[in-house]
Order: sequence, then structure tokens, then C-alpha cells
Amino acid sequence: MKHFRVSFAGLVLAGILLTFPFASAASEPKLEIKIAVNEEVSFTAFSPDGKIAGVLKSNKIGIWSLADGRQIRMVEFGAERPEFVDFLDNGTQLVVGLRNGKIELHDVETGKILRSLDNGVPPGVVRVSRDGKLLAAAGGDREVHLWDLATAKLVHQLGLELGGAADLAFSPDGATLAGSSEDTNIYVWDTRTGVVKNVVRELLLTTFGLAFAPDGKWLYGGSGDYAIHVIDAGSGKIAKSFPAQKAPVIALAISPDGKSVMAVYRDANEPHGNTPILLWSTESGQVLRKSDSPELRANGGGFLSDGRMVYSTANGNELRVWSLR
Amino acid sequence: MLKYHLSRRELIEKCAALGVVVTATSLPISAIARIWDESELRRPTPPNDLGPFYKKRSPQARELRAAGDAGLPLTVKGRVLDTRGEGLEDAKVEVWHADHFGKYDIEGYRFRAQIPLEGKGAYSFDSVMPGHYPARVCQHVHFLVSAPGHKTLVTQLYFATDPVFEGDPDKNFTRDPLLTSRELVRPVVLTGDPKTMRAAVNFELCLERL
Repeated sequence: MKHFRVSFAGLVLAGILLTFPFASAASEPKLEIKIAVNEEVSFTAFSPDGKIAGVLKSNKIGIWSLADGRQIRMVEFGAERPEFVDFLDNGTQLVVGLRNGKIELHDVETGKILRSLDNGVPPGVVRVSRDGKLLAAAGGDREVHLWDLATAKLVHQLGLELGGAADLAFSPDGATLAGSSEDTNIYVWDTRTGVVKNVVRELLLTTFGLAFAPDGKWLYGGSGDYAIHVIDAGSGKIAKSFPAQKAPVIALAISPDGKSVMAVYRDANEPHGNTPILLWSTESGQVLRKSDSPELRANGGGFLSDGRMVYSTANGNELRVWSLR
Repeated sequence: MLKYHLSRRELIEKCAALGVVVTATSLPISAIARIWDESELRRPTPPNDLGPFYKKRSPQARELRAAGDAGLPLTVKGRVLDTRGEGLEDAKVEVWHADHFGKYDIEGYRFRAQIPLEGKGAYSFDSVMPGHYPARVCQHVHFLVSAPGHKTLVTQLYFATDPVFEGDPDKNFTRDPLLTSRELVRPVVLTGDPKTMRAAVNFELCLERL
């Protein structure tokens, strides 16, 4: 396992007590639901329609309804460890990356495996284009694999210069894929040709979280330099940056309306410390909400279609889901 | 200094073409060239992960250790070579590692440097023995080495004295899942009395031609 590989679906989170400059934005998180799991939940993923998937220590993935905590499904993977999980198609499908290099798409309702790909290397991050046609996966090597989901064929192997991928993001129209690397560059590819359109080389440290704005023009990068950078995806130039905090951004998600960005922070040297969460306005660059309790150790988060920003914590017995309004 | 522009394989093929070498075997000249070439090759240094703590634009320095730094003083030296054993004078060597307490400097450039070469591909730097980063098993130093005409090498140096190996790195090097080659675990020479003890490690860096 990489010692600092993170995404919202792969968080092993922690942190330090941070002092943020926008104290007025402090808000009390609301406990939405408690789900009894009776074992550790390593990381989670949320679907916009209100489901949570949690990767359990016993190599199972549980899927629950956020409305009532009802267990929808429990998927077992035997000896294979799920390294990545996320929902697709508004929660009707689940994509799972396994340590043996396999990537599986599951139908949430029936449990049927819809597609299985052999990615070769364990995929630490997997993303699927909004139209469901393309899947991008990357592990610790210096390649991003781009798959055609209709044919289950590998269509492009996209190279990174020196290090493994940290995060990937498709533009909303699927025509562009962005990938951040441990070599600190962010690569922007044309998904049809596999050609690099531009490379962001200005950043000194790794960008651990990537998200496209709904217009596809702006790419948000949560960086190891403690800041969020807003990048013109067309030119690869950094247009502006939100103020640096006191720890690296380890994961990032953008709201469906593009008006806010959720960022999770964690001290790079405290992999089991706390994880302050800030909600930023994309328009003003101001903090709208924050949750920064010293005890906070989020293991996943995202946005629901009703606009709620949610995140989860786990204590070995219960999975708890919180919202910040 | 005399520099060789042809690989040994290219050299023998050229000699055969010009008639200044003849062979008495039934093998084609390309096969002879390959055998001769491979018999002279050093193995490239095994690669290892870049990791998430690489930071661009580190300063040039040979002295990474400052007065008062905690930890066992450490000197690392070696040469940057090609697979024929020739020193690569125009190579660039960049290193970074955690401090004695296992913490990386994210905001600045402590224990991060580009090491100026000393001639014939030789390099050396003084630092401290890195501590154990909480999410990694072994103590390690990251290297990024490049030279014109050669594949860039990303690798890590490990220490045979690391307590994780319990004195037997041959048997125990796999305890760190990221440590994929025993070759990267180097012997440590300890000198001095208990109050002035320091460690020294030789780490040869062999780059593959493009």
C-alpha cells in the first residue's frame, strides 16, 4: 500500500489541530445516521442518491441506505482486498479496485458483476466518465490505463514521467482526463487520442485531489502545498489559488452545481491524525463551512444530490455519517 | 578525459564492418556483439517508488545535516555509472528523506538537496540516519538520478542496520512491501566511539542507456 495514497474513496485519514483564518465559518456537523457494522471500516464512498459503501477490514463491502441505515447488500471478496470503491450512474453501480489488479463493476440492486477488467497493477484510484463509456485506473507504476467499458478493451496507456498517480478526474463530457502524479505534475490528456494536451509543472508538491468544475473549463487541485489551485484545463495555467492552510489537502470533491468544493486536510507526517474538512466557495474563494474537531478522522465524503455535504467516521463498531449544511 | 561514444556492441559491429576484427565462429556478428556486450554489463540499479514527498527545486548542497540535528550522523557516497562502469560526469543526483523522528519537511527543504558531483560521477553527502516514517516500514533515502542519454533512475536506499531487518536483511527485507530488491539494502560502516559514532554507506547508482 502506498504510504500516502488518498482519494475520497481511499482515505486512511487523520490529522493535526489546525487554526483556520475563517473562524466565523465554524459549523456544527449534524449526525445523520449511525450504522452498526461491528468491525473497522477502512474507507467509504457516497452516491448522490443517498447510499454509502464501506470497505470492511474483512474484505467485504457493505452498502447501506442513508435514509434509514438499511443494508442493501454485502459483497464479499474473499482473500482479495478492495483498494478502491466508488458509485457510478447515480448509485446504481459500484466500481471496485482490488489488490490483485482486477476492477469490477457491480450492479448494486442485483449484486451481479457487470464487468471485470484485469488492470494488471492494483488500482489505487479508478474513475469513470459521466457517460459511463470510459474508465481510467492507476496504481503505483507510471501509467494510467484508459479502458473502453463497452468493449472491455484497454484503449490507451497514458504515461507519467517519474512517479505514480495520486488522483484522476474526467471532464464532464469525458473528452479530457486529468491525472496528478507524485512527480508533482498534473497531466491533461485527450481521451480520444491519448495525447497529452498540457502538463501543469508549476507545483512543487503532489496534488492529492482533483476535480473538474461542471463546465469542464476549470480543474481544482488539492495540493501537498496546503492550498487548492484552480487550473485552466485548456492551457494548464494556474488561474488562482485558495489560501493555504496548515496541512496538505488529501482529498477533494466538487458540488454538483459547482458552487462549492469540499477539501479534506491532514498533516503529511501524521497518517493517523485528524482530518479537518473545509467547504470552500468556488466563486469567492472563502470558507463556507468547516469541521475541525481534533477527534475528527473522516474515512470518506462527498455530496448528495440534495446539496448536502456528507462525510463518514468509524469506530470499529459503528459507521457514522455526518453532514455540514 | 576520453569518452566512449559507441557502445561495445556498436564498436564490435563497426570493427567487423571495417574488417579490423575477424571472427572464427559460426555465430553472426550481431550475436557475438551481444554476447560480448552483455558480458561487460553492470546491472542497472533497481528502481523503487518516487513516493508522495518529492518536492521540486531543492537547493544544491552536500551538507544536509545542521548543527544540533538529532540522529546518527550519516555519510552516503558512491558514483553514478553507466552499465559499462563509466562514471557519468554530467549526471544530476537529487535526494530527500525524513529526519531522525521520521518526519518529512514539507514547508522547507531540510534533508532535501541536489548533490553536486565531484568528478568521474562521484557524489557524497552528509546527513543523519532517517527515522521511521509512520506509514512506512523501513528507514530510507529517496534518490532521483538523471544523465543525458540515460533512463532517469528513481530509487531508494535502505540500511542493513535497520531494526526491521533484525540483523538479517537477506531474510527480512520483504517486511517492507515497497522494498522490492535486496540490492537496495546497503551495508553500514559504523566508526567512532559511542559519543562520536557515525555511519557511512556506499551506494553505487548505475543508469541504463536510453
